[in-house]
Amino acid sequence: MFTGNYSISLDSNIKEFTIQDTSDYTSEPKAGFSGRRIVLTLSGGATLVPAGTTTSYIDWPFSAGDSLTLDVLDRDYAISVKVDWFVIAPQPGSTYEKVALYAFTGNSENFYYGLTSQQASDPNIITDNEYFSNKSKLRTNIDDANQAVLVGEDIQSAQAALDNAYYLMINQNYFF
Amino acid sequence: MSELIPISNIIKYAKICQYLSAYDNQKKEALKGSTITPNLPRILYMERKAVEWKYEINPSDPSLEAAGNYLYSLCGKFLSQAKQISGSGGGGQIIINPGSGLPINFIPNRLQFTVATGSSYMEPGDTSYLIPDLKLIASTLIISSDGLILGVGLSDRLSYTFTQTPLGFLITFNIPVNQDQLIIIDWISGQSSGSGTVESDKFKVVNTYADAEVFYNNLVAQGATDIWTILVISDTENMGGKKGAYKYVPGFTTSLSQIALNFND
Repeated sequence: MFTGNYSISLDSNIKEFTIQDTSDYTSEPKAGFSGRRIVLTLSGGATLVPAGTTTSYIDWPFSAGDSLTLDVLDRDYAISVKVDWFVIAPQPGSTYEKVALYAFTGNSENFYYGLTSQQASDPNIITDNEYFSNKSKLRTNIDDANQAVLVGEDIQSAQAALDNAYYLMINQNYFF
Repeated sequence: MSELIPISNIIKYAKICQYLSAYDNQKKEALKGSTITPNLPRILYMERKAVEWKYEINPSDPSLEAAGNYLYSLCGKFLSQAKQISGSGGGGQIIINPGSGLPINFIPNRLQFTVATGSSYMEPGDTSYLIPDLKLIASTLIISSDGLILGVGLSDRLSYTFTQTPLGFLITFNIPVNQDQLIIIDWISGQSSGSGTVESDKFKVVNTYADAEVFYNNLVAQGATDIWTILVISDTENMGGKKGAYKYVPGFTTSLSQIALNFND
């Protein structure tokens, strides 16, 4: 019995993430599959693909290996990641699809860490109430996004929190 | 010997300091008092999350040292307790000396002084200070100057290194200290960090001796080979020719003449 599975890891490059096929192909070898496909769906229903991709999905042929790095995070998104395994002769009891939600917060975390680095050389800035309050809001929004996905499986709330964080970042001259 | 504190340890300490500071705030406010650092638990959480994130994605990032030192400094007075909690397995655990089977107590210590001419601690222009404690646990040492916690082995600001000597831990600052500089040193005693062997926390011998020679011979007769700290209260002039209290500088001694020399007032 085959159960399609994958994991996602973050890179030091915050614009990317890596998806790893962790399926056990013992019962159904890769030769019995015709391909794999990744669909990244945003909270509003739109799909996300790397630049230059003409389809709304990402082909992931077995010839490309079991690890694929995707450069799609121009900003932070809550994403429904779906992988389909296309099998030539489906077997009863096997699962050829996996869908999971992820909140990608690397851009926000990177900006947030930049503020901390700045504080290391200017520690007194944390005593500025406005600065502290806005940085606290940013932290709360990042945490909200993660909690919404991990606890609530709520992509809408996660994206709303990331949008709030994004607003603080693109208007950093006013808030920090 | 000097050591840099790993970022992973700083993150661990910050997590503990967060709840220690939250508890401290609650204690102060319980009787309608107040605290001057109401946001400290939140700040510790916020800054720890930032350092933790960077450490997870790139533990060798060069900016982590400064950010880690900043987080470390935010822990402030709670660091000593946090180190104690993390080092003893989460709090309340009794460490047993495998050699003697006896429990070891960890004793927190604090030394606070102001640099001044004529001070018995440090005078202006000094660069070193000897902590006369051979059982100092090196990883618990925290030194602050005028309220700012110092880093170890830095060259671009006031910092320190330390070396274990037969008489204790020698602290060496990279910049001479100044008049009226407030120095606070926190550490925990309980284990000999130099040899890595575990020593029982303390022993106490109460006895009366006629003079230093009788005292020394009695110690030898009891099989003593190593002397840590002895406080002698003398009402005669047989102890080095002076009356009053005498403190023996810790260290190993082999002769009566040496033990006499090592007594000072």
